[in-house]
Amino acid sequence: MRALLLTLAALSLAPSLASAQPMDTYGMGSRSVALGGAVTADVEDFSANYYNPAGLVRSGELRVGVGWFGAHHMFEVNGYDSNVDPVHGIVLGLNVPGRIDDFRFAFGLGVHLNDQRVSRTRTLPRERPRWELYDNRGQRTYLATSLSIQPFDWLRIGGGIAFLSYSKNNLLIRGDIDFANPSLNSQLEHQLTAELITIRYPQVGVQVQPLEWLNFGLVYRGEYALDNTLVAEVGTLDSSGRPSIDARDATRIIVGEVVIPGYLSLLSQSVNAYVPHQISFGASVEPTPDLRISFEATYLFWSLYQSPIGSSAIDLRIAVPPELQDTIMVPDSLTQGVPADANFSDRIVPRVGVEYTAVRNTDLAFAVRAGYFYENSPAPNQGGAFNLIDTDRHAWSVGAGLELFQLRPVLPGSLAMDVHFQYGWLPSRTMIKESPIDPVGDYTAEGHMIAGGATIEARFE
Amino acid sequence: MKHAPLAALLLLFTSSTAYASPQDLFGFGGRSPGMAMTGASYVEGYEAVFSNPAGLAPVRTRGLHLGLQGGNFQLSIDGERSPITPGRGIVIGFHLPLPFGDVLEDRLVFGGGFYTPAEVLLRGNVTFPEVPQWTVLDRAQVLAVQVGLGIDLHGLVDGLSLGFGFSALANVFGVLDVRLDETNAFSSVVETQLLTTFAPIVGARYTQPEWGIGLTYRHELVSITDLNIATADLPVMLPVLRVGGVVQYDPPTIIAEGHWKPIPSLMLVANVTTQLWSSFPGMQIGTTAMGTQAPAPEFSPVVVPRVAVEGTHHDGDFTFAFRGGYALQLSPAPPARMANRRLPNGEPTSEQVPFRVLDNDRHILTAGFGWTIHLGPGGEKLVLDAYGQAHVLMDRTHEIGRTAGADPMVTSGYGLVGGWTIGAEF
Repeated sequence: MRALLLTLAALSLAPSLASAQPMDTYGMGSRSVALGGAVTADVEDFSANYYNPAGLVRSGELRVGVGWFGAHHMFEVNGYDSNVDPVHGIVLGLNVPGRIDDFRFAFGLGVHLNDQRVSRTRTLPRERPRWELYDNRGQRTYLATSLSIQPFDWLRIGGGIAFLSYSKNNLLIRGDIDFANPSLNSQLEHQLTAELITIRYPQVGVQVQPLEWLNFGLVYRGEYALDNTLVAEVGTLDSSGRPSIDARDATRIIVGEVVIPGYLSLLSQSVNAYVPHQISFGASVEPTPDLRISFEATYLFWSLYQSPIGSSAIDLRIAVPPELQDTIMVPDSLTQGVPADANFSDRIVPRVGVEYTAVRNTDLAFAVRAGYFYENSPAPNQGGAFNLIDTDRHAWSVGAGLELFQLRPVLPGSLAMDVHFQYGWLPSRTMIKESPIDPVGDYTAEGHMIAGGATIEARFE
Repeated sequence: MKHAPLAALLLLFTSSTAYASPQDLFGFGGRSPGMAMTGASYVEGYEAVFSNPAGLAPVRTRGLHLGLQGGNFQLSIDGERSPITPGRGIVIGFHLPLPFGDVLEDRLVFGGGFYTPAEVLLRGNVTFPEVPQWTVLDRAQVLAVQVGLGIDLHGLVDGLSLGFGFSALANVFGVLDVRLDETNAFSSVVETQLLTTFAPIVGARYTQPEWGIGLTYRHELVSITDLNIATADLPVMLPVLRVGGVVQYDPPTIIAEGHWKPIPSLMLVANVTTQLWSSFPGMQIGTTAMGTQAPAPEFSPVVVPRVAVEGTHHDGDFTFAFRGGYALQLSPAPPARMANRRLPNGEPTSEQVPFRVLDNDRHILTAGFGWTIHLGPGGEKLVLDAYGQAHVLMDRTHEIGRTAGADPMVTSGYGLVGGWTIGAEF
């Protein structure tokens, strides 16, 4: 029986739903964010779906939580606003515990759903400056299911396989292009194959509690990257490799009475929203019943970063008749875009969090929290043609939580309400160009970000 | 013939097919697909998020169910095989009674149901109008995300429950800008966004020990891809190209169903499902702002009758169920024909093009089996359900041939679909 349940539970992880990591930048759940994300060792609310799925089984309570989250970026390059989009949306989650005899397990669901969109991928021109870790990576939905088991009172193990999707489009365009007035008189039609493709990545974790007041946690989250690919063809080629004029899928350029066959092939490919492998180890201690202190270090394998500098290939063939050689000038060759390495470095992110329960009685509990973490930038100096901007980040957070216990008979348990505020400082960093004729030139980047949110969680005994 | 079951099993796990929204074609879960995709009046638990969210309300145990679904359609045009996208997928469902007390005790149940194709979350093909296309059977491989809330009105009207929920899909919007950059290389700015689209599902049902009725309305579920492509610095100026179309479509659907138990171990089901296909906008969109578009699809509403039966047998801690059903799925599509292209405002032009949208009426025969192991007095149990479906396409002669000048084509085919789920309730 237990084996069957375990098998079933394990199977449930195979297609589990999760996607990208706005959580890496902004955290998940007000309590965990307020503690600087230093919760791997003892997290037990729905944010365990991200921080450490092993914690889902910890409380043994059915928990249903929902909240709101928002972040605003004030990033500048040479004093000019970089217009990095804000991120805001709802967070929600479930912890569903179960027990067969003495064996305890729990399923979890965690969601971060942006207000504006499920996800966005963006490929910019190679040399255009962009805040690489903030410009687009927050524009994701996070949806995770996880399983946790507690084989011993002191040991909890959890895991899940997350997945997210990106689009891949393949299109063919045919018809007539009017040279003189293409927007008004062209008659084109298209055929499209559009796919949303799945990426799966794992997240597993353990929590060890050797003493009532001492906890350790370890979690691994896998890497992923979104491949942004578009393949487009306008017209078709005949058997000799020349643009066809009379095939069914041909494209013709109409110049007065002259009909010219044409062909254009375009491939655009790049990587978006890369998130590296990461391992977090944390510990928490409760020196007194009202005080909790936690420490954590996260190692992120940014050296494996797949560069967003993508490739593009373009093939243009137009059989221009001699009388129009001065009107339509086709270059002998077109320069293609080639991918480039980003040369990022690994980094270690230290975190610390403190929680003090100021009031605790039979009716309610009230706690205040504070946290801090530091992220050193994995990006090297952008001395070449590319401009993947990033600087270090210091983040300070504060928060508070109120839990109400006397809500029977409607709620046989408690109701917890948490709020948080976070300030991030990105100190100034100057990028020195190697070439004196670099079209962008040297520049200085810096910024601030503020984030806040609130969650409410019903806890059923 | 003696290897037929093995062949069917291999088919299910190797070359299986997922076409349109699988739940719209084959039903959702492990029980109702074996009963001709009925369920609005009797299904309880996670399957109800699709068939009738009111069916969540009577559930008193937590449940998690998993399974596989797949199949294969063998379609032909003039006797020649016309393959459509193969695939298979995973079914996940859960239901969770919310344990409030007082007036909310045993009142609210939350549930979710998911189907994830094995290879892609969504695949849509928008083809030229003259290309033969099985628009109804091959709409897309697509992820299904459905959640619902059931409300038990016991104490107010015993036996009455209501349900609300939605299905969700993603629209893909994007821009592509191709031009020379400062280094004189062609570079592109590509931005694509996934935006969620929702289709509400509402339902009500009233049940008594010997009979029950259910009503469900599912709103249309549409997924759109819309990419705008702008080019510059090419020797020939191109207009802004709009590329995309409707890559997934489930019509608005109204379901009325009743069941009757002449004896406690036998249930008979009758169901009428109305699919309002007339609101189908067609797959294609115009490529340029002023260019003409593909012809209108001119689909029609269809009424689908379904009947089903379920017999149960109890033996100690085990319950066995045997299921069967039949549905006549009429085609909403007109025959392949010469049709008028449309202006950007939707008005028809005088230009006629071949429009080869293919679909046939189908007889659907289903069978299923259920095995429940009761584990404890609290309702703990393991549930295994399996089903199979045979879709037989009635031969159809169209108005035009497969190619220009050919005799009118005849389409036919069949499909085999199967699946299983296993679940724990605790």
